[in-house]
Amino acid sequence: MNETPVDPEQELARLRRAAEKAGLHADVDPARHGLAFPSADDLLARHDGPSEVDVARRRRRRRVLAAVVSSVAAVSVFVLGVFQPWQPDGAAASTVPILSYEYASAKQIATAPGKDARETLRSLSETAAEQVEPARGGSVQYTVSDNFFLSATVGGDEEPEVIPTLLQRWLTSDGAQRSVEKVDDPLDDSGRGLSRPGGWDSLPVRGDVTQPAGEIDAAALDRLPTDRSKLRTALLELTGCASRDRPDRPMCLYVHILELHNIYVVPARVDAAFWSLMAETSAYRLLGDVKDRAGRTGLGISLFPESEPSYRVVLIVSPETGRLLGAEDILIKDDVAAKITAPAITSFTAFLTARWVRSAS
Amino acid sequence: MSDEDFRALYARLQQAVFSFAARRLSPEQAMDVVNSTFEVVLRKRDACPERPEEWAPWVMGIARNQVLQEGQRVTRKHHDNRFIEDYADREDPVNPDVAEVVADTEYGRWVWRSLEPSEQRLMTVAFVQMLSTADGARLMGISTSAYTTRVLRLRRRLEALEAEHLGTPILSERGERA
Repeated sequence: MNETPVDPEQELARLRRAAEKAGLHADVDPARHGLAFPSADDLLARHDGPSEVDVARRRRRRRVLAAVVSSVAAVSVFVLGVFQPWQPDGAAASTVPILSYEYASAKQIATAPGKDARETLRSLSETAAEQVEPARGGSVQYTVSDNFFLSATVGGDEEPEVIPTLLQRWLTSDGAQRSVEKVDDPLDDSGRGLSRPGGWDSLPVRGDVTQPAGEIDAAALDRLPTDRSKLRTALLELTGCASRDRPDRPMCLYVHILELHNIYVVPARVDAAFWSLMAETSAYRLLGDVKDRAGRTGLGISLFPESEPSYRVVLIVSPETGRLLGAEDILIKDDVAAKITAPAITSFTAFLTARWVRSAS
Repeated sequence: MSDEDFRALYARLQQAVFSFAARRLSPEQAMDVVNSTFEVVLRKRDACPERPEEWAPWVMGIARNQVLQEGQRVTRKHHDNRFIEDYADREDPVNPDVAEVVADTEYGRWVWRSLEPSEQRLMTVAFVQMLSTADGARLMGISTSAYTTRVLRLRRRLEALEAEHLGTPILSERGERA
């Protein structure tokens, strides 16, 4: 039997109606899956070169970087409210491999949305809260971090270069801080291979300075309340991230958790409170499993900062302990002036050791 | 294409690209496809058709390639010893849980799962409202008449599934028992 001639467009419309009737949606709503479309302006910003405003801001930040990284004395500027450790413009793009995360390959790091991180942050908060603090071996807070910072000149002819920097810091109870800066070994091809505990003892020392007593409030974290709810409030006040109306509060929390780890032996309950605060917003995205620069297993928690549209920042947290392992700043928009092609690691910090010791040596 | 044109194009097609990808991949992967598709659009902005009515087929062609690449990326992750070329003849990747995404009701999910993979692929393309028959046919790499024939068959298949669900025999459009 011959088929009745059909109008192709009408037939297509009939199929769509039949599908809708069968309960199939024409549109899948990303919000139902905890996802949101990036804005067109974000996509344009990631794709295009930096605006004049961006260039000016970056130039200003590089001046800060020069003050911080070029001399050991500047290392001691890691003081609450004075220096935000996320600001240095990081390592040369082409020489620091981007880590691949479970939900964001290195290739897609600029755009991969990841997953809603709230549940994971709550779980990390519980894990951290369950940690038992080790007995203090003294009154001096000793921390070791490994960092890569970019040295680049806006508009200059030279290529960005990598500066491997291992920082040992001793914060004594009177607020004096000794900082020893060492040149670490190059990373391996996977972007990993940072020194392990003990491995940095023989590294060449680039500088050794002590900041006078009274510059840092060494007991600031000890005075924080132990009650979890009160601790959250106190942390918000300490960091200045208290106001919900504060512009880019998620970035504020990111900056300050790094800042605290750069100065203090941070108690696990403080990490727990930070994760709990971060779990209140959907701004953070879970990137999933990753091996960090020191080869440790971590979970990537990322943020596209509203205040820094050229960057994606990532915290790496241990799923076993809920403790902060490190952080990475990733340029996701070409920085023409600094000759850096996105995506590129512009800086990272790995926290390798944090414990109480008897003396600053 | 100006920035203003891109904003208009993106506003018009972001939902279509996401829905298209979400019928083949997980929602997170589908959002990756949205990002990568419009990254490519910006990279190829000089080749973008000037007429807005031609944007959809151009962008959906890019989106389809991104869906394939995303599927291959995931497959490679689990088959490290194989190469992309090994998958050149593969069909689009299919997220096994996609029924949960494309339908709210148990009936809708049952309908989707009852469709053959080729029927699901056709539904995915046919659902893109801004694609004409000719555009859809081009996207699937078949002739317009073949596309129309498959569309017609798929509609009848949906009707047959509905009849099966209701437990009633289906009648043809002329009132005859099928």
